[in-house]
Amino acid sequence: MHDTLERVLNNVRGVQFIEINAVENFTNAITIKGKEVKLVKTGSSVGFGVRVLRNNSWGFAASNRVEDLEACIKSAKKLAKVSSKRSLNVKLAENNPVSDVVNDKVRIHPSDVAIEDKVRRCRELSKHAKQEKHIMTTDIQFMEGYGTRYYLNSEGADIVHRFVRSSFVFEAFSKKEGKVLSADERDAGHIGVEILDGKEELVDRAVGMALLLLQSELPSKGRMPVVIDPKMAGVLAHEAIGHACEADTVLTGKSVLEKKMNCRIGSRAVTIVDDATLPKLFGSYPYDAEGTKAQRKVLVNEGRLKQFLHSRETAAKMNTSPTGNARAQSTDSFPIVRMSNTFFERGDASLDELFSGIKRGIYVHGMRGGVTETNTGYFQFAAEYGYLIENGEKTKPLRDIVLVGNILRTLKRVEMASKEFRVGNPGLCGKAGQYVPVSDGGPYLRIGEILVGG
Amino acid sequence: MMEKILNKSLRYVDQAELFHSSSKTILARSTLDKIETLKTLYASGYGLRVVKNGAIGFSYFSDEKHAEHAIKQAVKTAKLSKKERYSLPTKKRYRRVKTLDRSYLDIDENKLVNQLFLLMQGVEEGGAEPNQAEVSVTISHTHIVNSEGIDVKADDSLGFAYVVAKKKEATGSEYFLSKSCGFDMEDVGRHAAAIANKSVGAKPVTFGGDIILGVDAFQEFFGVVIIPAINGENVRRKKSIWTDKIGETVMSESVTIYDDPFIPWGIGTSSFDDEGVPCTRKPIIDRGVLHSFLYDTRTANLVKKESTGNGFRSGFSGLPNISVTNIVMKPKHRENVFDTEKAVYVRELMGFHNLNPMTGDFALSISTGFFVEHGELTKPIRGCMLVGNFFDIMKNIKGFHKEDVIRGWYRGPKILFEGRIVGK
Repeated sequence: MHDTLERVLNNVRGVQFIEINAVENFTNAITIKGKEVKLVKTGSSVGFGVRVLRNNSWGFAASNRVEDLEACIKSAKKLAKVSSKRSLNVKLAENNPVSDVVNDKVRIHPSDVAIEDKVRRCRELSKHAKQEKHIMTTDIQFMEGYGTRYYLNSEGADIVHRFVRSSFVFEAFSKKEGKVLSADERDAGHIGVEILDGKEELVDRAVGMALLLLQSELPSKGRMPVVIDPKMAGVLAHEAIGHACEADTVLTGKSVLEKKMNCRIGSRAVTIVDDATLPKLFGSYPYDAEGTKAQRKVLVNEGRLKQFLHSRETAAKMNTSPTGNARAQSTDSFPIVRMSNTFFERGDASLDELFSGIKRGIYVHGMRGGVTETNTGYFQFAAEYGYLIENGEKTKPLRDIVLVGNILRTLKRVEMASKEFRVGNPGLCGKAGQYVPVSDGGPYLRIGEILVGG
Repeated sequence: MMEKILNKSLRYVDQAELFHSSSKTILARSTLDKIETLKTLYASGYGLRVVKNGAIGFSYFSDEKHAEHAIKQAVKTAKLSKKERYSLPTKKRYRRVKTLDRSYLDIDENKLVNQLFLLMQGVEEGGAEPNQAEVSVTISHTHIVNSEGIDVKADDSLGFAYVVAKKKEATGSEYFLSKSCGFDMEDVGRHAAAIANKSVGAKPVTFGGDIILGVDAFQEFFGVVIIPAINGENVRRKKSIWTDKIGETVMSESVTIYDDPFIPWGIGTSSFDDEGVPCTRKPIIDRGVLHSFLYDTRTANLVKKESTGNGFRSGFSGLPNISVTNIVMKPKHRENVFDTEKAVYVRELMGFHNLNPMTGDFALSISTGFFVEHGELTKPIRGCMLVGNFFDIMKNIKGFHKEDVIRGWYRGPKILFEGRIVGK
């Protein structure tokens, strides 16, 4: 594949810039429903995408048949010409073209273990799920992908990345008096088959949560102090700040942070980072889809906005350097500005300090989904479960908790961040119809007041 | 090619099926009034499903050179899966419906870009600014062959247009999605502009009384709550809230809902599903009573029923899953629901994760809404929450609008019910 790409690329004429992202990918998936092996699936695919800059306009073409490569280049060139009818006048920020080969370091490579063994291990985990009366059924979804990504461009960049990625999701369904509730736990990242090691603990946690939900009540609504766990803190960092820091959003006037660079937007307890270099995490990568090296960026430092996330295109527009945040869902998608692993930095409070002094509030755990309007800063997040806090103690379990607020007001009300800190929640972040792997996290945070709905 | 792979597989297994899809998409997207992306996508690949001793194996590949490997993998995975006495579907007669609008075949990148410009022009004519727009056309071909005599082919077209208009701080969006291209781009743009104009100065309110729910919002409710409930596999695993409820009244008796694969140019309109089984039109809810669930061949076999022709794939790399075709609501009575002294029209909601699919409880933020007074949309509403229970709404619908709206896979009227909106 590499030689074909190189040969074809070297023969392209009449463009300002051309880049090719290509992939050879192998996947395995195992689905266990209850104790039945519902599906074992394997597959292979190839794909490439060509992006051409001509008359300061983009043209893009993609296919999953290598024999279409030259036709796609021709098509991309033509599309760029048509685009120039009403051009965005694209310029690219300078980027050092890199030549590199990166291999994901995993303990057990997927191709070294027979699929039979993986099925057996998933079955054992499904049997491990506690045989509680109120657990109706459980699901296991194991997936792994491995292969090679190629990035080549006309400036001389030549990157080969041999990747491995696995994910394990366990979901438990509980039922009592006609009420059905579910809880899931997941792990994912640049990990090999070792992802299946020690997953009994994760299974127990999901089962415990599904059972706890049966005992839970709906929260009373209103404004109150809350303590949020690292998962919810991660969501706040990602959804509420991360998206508003994406430079393409800023440039189109859709970010509430547009005119806030170097301004105070949160309390001193608020430091938010996007770091694509953390080993093994789901949102990490060595180079982005424009061949820019992955970086750690401090978006908010002790309450002050410091940095936006950039592609080469947005960096040129804002007269700065690319941050390695141009990502694409796959080789048939146009790279856009995306996050990687986004989190609050830890503080120095103990968990006791976070809870103490709260007369009546809510402790919020996990995340079930959320929305943010980047232009107004309005957000709404649903938690997995929580507890009522009464006089500094966790009391009744709660479910269907929704936090509603405005990001700029909420960040100013972050009173404390804990020493305890976790980054990892793997997930897929959607933007403009493209989903990319990300993770998030942080410490436990105490927020002075927030609207609890649900 | 298809025959060859199928025959090779049959040396190792009892039954085999090969699904092939290929497509070409051209897409144009703009930011503000400039072209941001213009792209062409080709996609092609194969999904091989085999059956050995009643167990299913599956492997997919995009490169024909990997066919041999895929056969071996599929055979191996069949040995690891549960023996469920599965058998692939056999050949049956099906009703032919049109799924390819030939006028799409003439659209090249120049014409597509002109369509994008028309969409933006519509917004400007409507007195707003285009903020974002997208137009795309996909032409696809599907071919399914199996060892039990099925050999079917389909050609499909799909057109999509989406636009966001901006006026001061307010936005208005509109979209079009259909297998046919019989629509007016400028009209779509003008409509988005009208919504943006009317939404300027929107504020949160607290309100209790008549609520008119738009079809976009209704469609989302339906997708989150009802579609999983009528999925035969969820029913089999007792994960559906309607398990064992066939024959019971679950909605107002004025509601009848069909799964209808034959409506003209619906995005779910098909002659047969992705297993080659003929599609069928059937009532899901008949005058408020739960009438039927949807099945593919695999679940149907497990519960000893017939497939309803609802086995669809997300692409060549996936196995069939149970899915609706088009959902059509046929109400008993119709009226002009806007002909009221005071009501709130909720056009768009956001945050559908705050809708619990098991209980129907929800608290959703209104992103586009208006007060309705004597048939007129008056004050705009935004940022407050519509709260309630979707099952309660469906049991107590007060009225249905006189006209149907077609939105993607849904065709039906706006509905009227009594509800509650909570301000910030």
